[in-house]
This record gives sequence, C-alpha cells and structure tokens, in this order.
Amino acid sequence: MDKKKVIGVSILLLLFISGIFVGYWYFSSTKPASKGIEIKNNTENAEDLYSLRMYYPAGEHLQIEERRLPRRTLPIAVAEAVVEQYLKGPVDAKDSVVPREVKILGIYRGADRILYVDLSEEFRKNFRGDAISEMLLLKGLYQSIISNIEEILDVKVLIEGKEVETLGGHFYLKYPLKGIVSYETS
Amino acid sequence: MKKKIIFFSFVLIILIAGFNVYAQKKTEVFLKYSKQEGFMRIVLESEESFITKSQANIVSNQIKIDFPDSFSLTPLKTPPFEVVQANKTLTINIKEKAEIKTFKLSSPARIVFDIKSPDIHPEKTSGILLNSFVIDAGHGGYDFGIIFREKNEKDICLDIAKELSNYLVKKGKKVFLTRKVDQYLQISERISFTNIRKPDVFISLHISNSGKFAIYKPYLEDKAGSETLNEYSLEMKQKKYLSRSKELADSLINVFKEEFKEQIVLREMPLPLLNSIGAPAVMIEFPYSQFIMYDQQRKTKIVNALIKAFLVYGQTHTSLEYFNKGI
Repeated sequence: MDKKKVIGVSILLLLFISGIFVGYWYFSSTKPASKGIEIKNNTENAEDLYSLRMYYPAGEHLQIEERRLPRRTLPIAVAEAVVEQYLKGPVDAKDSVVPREVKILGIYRGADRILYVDLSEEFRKNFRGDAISEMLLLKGLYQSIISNIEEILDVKVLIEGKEVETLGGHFYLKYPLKGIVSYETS
Repeated sequence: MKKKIIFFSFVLIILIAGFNVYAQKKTEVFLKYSKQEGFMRIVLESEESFITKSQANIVSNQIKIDFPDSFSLTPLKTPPFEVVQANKTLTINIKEKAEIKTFKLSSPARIVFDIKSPDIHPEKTSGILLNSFVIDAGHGGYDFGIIFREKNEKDICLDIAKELSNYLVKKGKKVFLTRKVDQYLQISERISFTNIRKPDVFISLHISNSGKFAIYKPYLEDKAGSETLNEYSLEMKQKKYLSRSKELADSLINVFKEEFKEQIVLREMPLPLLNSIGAPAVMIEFPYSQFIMYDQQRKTKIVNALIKAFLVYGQTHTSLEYFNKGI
C-alpha cells in the first residue's frame, strides 16, 4: 500500500517536473522567432516595402513622385512617413518651394477624422514664395496625406503646437486645408 | 477875402483830415487763391486781431465773412469766383455747389477756405472717376516675402504703394495704405482696415516667384454643405463686387500688356484677402527674376501703369454710380 503511494507520488512529481521542462522549452523556443520578425522589419526586403504617392509643387501644378518605404500598418505611422517624405522635398529639390529644416513636432488624428500636423517654426520662416507657391505647397501636403491614408478627411497644420493665421501671407492656415486646396490650377 | 480864404482852407484841412481818419480805419485784406487739380484754396490775409475777430459762415456754395470793421480788399490776381464787398462783409460766391472747409492760421494771420467743387473736382481734371483707394503693400515686419539680393518683397511693395499713394493724393483722391512702414500685419487686420474705409478700389501689391506679372481676382465657390467652408464663407463680402473685381483685373491685364509688352498671367483664386473685401479687389504680383532690377525707373513705370489701369476701369465705374445703385 505504501509502495503504491510512493509510486503515485513519484509519477506526479515526474509529471510536474516534465511539465516545467516542456514549459521552459516552449517559451524559450518562441523568443528566437520574435527576434526573427524584428530583423525582418529592419531589412528593406522588397516584399515588405510599399509605395507612397507624393504630390510636390512644380511650377504651377503638382508633380507626382512615388516613394518606396518599409511597410507600416498604423495609419498614424503612415501619416508620419508621408509628412516626413513631403518635407524632404522632391527628387529634384533645387527650386523646390518646400521649406527646409522643418521638423515634425507631432501628428494627431482627431475624432473628426482631421489629421493635425504639428510642424516646427521653420515651415513658416523658411517659406519664400508667392500666392500660387503657397497654395501648391499646402495642396501638395494635403493630397499626399489624403491619397495615402483613406480614413483621413482633412488636414490641419499647426506651427509649434499653435494655430497660426497664415503660412506666407496669402492663405489662411487657421482652417483645415480642404477649403484652400479645392482650387484647381489650370 | 482873407477871411474867406482862411475859412475854405480850414474846411479843406478838416475834409482831408477826416478822409485820412476814415482811410486809416479801413484795414487791408489781401485775397489770394490757388487752384490745383482736385481743389481750390482761397486765403484772406490781414492783421492778427482783424482775422481773429472775423467770422466766416458757409451756406451751400456761398462764403460770407463778417469782419470786425470796414476793410479794403486787395485781390492779388483776378479770382475765378464772384466777390461782393459791402461795408464789413465780404461774400464769395462759388459758381457751383461745393464742399467747403474753413480754418484760421497765424503768422501771417489768415482765413483759409479749401474748396472742392464740381468745376475743379479731381474726377474731371485727373480723369480718374474714382475717389477712394486702399493700397495694400504685401508682407512686412518679420514676414519678408520673397527675398532678393538687394531688397525684399516687403520693401519693394511698400515703395510702390507709397509712390502710387503720393500720385493719387496729389490728384485729390482719398488714399489709405494698410501699412506705411515696415510692420507685420495679419490678413484679418488688412481686411478690417479696408472694409471700414469702403474704398472704390482695393489693390494688394506683391512679387511673383516667376518672371511674369500675375493678376489675381477673387474666386468664390459654392460652399453649401461644409461646416468649415461655411465658417469661411461668413467673411465672403466680395460676392456683390465680383463682376467689378473682374473688370478691374481685366483693365490691369490690358494696360500691363500694353505697357510692358510681357505675358500677364490671370489667376482666379480663393484668396482670403480678396474674398473678404467689400469692394472691387485685385492682387497684383510684379515679376521677379535675377535680371529685373527694381530701380526708381521701373517702380515709376509700374505706378504709371497702375494709374492708367484705374483710369480705364474708372471710365465705366464711378463712386457716384456705386452710390446711386445703392451698392
């Protein structure tokens, strides 16, 4: 009777110990797998790249350029990538009206599906252009965001976290951009 | 006989003395006038105490001046208006209905009458059938606009605005500059400044990025259904002046094409500055390129072209017309 008890306890003990080993083996074996995904994200593998359609001011109209970037799933991350790319300017940035040295201070999505793009003072300070350049600069930013992120309906630009009246003295910046950019250049 | 001679001599002496006393009592008043395009100025110059005690009354196109004593009037040249002198009163009749302002000045003491009457009104003499202008020099202060090697957009626009203003003021026009110095002004400040003054013409001066003249006329959209745009449209005061703004823009295009023999770009854009102005409104951008120098000669040429364009536009649209139509 005592022998049976001893065997039973031993079996339970063995099962418990083997459970610990199985658990250890299972969890330790998943770690290398997660490392693998990270590595995969960092490498610019063609399968994980996606295209952004960017609209840059060129003369009196907008010019489309395609940019291939690592895939991002969150819309806000895509928005950040779009704005970042936009501020880099077009490939031929020689005569570009896109202001230089502009930093992104924040990008937020409002409940009204308006994307708030908070930029540094350089966006205003370094802009040197006439009315059409100002309109195309804002229109290009709007089009680039809207065409790459479906759920965004409008874009509002903030400077240093604040609402400012104008970018270059021709158009209001205190309203979302849709109203300004609906104008079609011929 | 001797007695008779003495008597007549005595009478003669009394008469001469009396005449002299009478003559001494009359204070001399000099009548001067100057006539310029836009207005006429009449000046009555005399002794300080005489001018101080005199009183001027203006009724319609008649000026009546009551002097403290009898006077002798000395016109320095034949005046183009009727002057009636009676004892202590001088009456000046202006031929047609006039707007008369009066004020007294000293050293030398004088009464001045500034007269704006139809026969000397600037509208006829200068040819521009418009009375008031708001000239907006773009940018200013920390907003430099387009930066040139030698000068900035804000400075060139201000120079042209001032020169244009000086010319129009000399022609007797009411001219308001949104900014007279290098200062930053918000778009909303420019709009309210203009709408208070209700000008016949609003023009905003800028520089273009390209080597072409660009003329902007207001562009109003059908904004029904959008909350944001409706908020924006609250400021759309331009609606009833839209056709006039287009005609003003057309005048500018035609004149600048003729004067500069260059291609002029016309743009219709929803610029808040134009859309919110309750008057015929346009924006003009002067060309920029490394080959264009904004020296005095070029600035004057631009000012002359602007005046010519106002003249062309003003031939069909006068201030009076606005008034009559109740616009």
